[in-house]
Amino acid sequence: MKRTRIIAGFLSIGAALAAAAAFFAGAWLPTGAPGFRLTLAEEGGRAALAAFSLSGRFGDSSETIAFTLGEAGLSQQVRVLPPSLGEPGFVTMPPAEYACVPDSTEGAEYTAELIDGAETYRIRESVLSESRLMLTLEEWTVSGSGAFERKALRIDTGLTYPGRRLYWRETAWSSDREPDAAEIAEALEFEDLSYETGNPPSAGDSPLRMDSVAKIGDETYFVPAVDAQWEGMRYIYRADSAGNWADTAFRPTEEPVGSATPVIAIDEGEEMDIYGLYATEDGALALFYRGYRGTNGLSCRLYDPQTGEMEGELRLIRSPDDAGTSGSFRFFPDEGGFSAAVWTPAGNSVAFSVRRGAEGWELSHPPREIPGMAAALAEQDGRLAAVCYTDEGISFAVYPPEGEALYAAELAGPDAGGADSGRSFYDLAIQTR
Amino acid sequence: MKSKFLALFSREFSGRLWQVWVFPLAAALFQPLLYWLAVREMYESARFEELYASSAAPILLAVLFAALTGWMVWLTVRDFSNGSICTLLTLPGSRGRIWLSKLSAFCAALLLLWAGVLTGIGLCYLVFSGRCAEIARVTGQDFRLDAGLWLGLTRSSLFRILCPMTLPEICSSLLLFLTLPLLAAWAGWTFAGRHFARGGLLSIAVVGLWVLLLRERLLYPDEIPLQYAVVLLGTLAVAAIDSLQTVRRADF
Repeated sequence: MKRTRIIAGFLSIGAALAAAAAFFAGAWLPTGAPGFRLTLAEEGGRAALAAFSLSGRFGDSSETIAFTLGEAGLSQQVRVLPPSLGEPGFVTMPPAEYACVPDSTEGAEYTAELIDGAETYRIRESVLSESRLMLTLEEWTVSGSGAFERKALRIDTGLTYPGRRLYWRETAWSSDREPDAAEIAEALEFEDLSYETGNPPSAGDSPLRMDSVAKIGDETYFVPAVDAQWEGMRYIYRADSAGNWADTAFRPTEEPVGSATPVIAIDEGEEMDIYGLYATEDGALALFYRGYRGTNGLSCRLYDPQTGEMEGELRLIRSPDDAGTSGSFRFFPDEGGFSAAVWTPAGNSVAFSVRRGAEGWELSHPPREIPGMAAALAEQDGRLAAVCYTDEGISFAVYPPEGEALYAAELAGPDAGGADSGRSFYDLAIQTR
Repeated sequence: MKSKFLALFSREFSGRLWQVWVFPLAAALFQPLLYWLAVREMYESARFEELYASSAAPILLAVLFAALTGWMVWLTVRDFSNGSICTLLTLPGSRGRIWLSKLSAFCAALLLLWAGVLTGIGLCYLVFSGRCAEIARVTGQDFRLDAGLWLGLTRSSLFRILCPMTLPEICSSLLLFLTLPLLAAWAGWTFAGRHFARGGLLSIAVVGLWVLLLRERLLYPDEIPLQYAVVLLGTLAVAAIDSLQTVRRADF
């Protein structure tokens, strides 16, 4: 065989490899048409950033800008990554679910009300029952192939609600006088029963607190939510074991799965409106609540889950107007304590930081108002760094204990606020030095 | 001193080099042509990968890969039915090496085609960029939707097979690609030996699994269908062992 032919053969393989490598490299290189960039506007007082820096990501499902904002300014790097479902081992916990399981039928209640001012009554029969509160906690773990392994815990909290309506039926009744119970029962005999759905307890303006689950290491703690009608002792529970989700899903709802132990007795519940239970980084439990012993502001209690003792109680926000609903409460644990913020109906947030000092837990600076909705908070030597979602984009500011902000900057991407752009900020975190 | 394997390999590959060149050349040149036919009528903003998928270029790719596989099968059948390899096989020495050199030459041919396909996609992107620039010049507006070739590659399931980027994707794509020469070398060999039942059944199994794997990759680009990949790998291992056994016995 001719030598040139052999050389051409091997050269062609080399050329093919080179072409493939050049294609991959060429695709990576910037094409002169960058997707999008972040911009920094209205910046001032960068020296205050000596103790803090902000990092995060901005993008859509297929293109991401990883950025850092520090003393050196805004640095950003466009990275295009194939989207992935999640790292193996990633754990997520959906909100707890509540169910009221009827214990026993207590009796029927008959009501009649005049409608439209005419001689017509709406008559109704309601069947009442005492209900137990069941709580389901779920934990999803991403396994290697991207599938979720689901573990569920369903416990009987021991909390009961008297006189919850189980099912009812109603119809219209024409008469010149109000019917009595026997007449109503007779008139409704052939009507269809309507079952009460949406069993979780709720009482008008006191919505349930669903985010009251805290994880310390491998232990999960939670506090069952109750509504304002409920009275009695309340506990923080520790989840001891959970069953596979599939086992839970096909069992009757009144049957517990797994087990939990009450570890901390909170108090006799006097309309204690719990915002949530959170864990600090050094293993303390922080219970946030509103409306206790005649006050309506936001307070916090800190517990040691090992001993079950209360380590401190702090009044955080006095005015009831400042405290919104629990869905707007954000908690950011860090070394030695935590920062938290409540989003108020006015569109601002009230932020505060709590530290474990020499004399127990204390506020490291007075609660202060920050614009927008808090996305990350950090505290260092009395200074508070806050990232907030505003109408324009993301604002990052460093505040002294009192007075105006030392540093303020707005971060905005093109179409950052556009609903159809699908781009958003995520993984926002403040680093302290 | 060149090793025997390399000598056999260059005999297989370089001997057919100029025939092999047809496939990568066609992939590199006809893809941009077909793509240009598709974007010629484009007056609105569209993504590169969407236009590529709507053009006839993917069909050309399917035809090229099928033709290369068919050509490899035919080459094996021809060589082992009544070819010069029969003389080689009568010589003393390891006969498995002959089969492996053929398989390697086929893999090299596939590598050439793959490089041609990638070059073609790159040229398609040049066509796309030129067309976008022309529209921007005419209308005075730049309303491009794309943010580079790489983004287009991540968004299309076909491109994610052709240009895998993560390790699982690379492994799965390698399996898809390497099945073709292995199937060709093995099936051609068995057919040359007139083992039609064995060769036919195993070929149908391999082709079926390969189609299933390809379908899963196309439909769900984020998930690698591990079960199909493992079964296909096992079937291919059976085929390879069977081929080497046949070579050892030389009963064709």
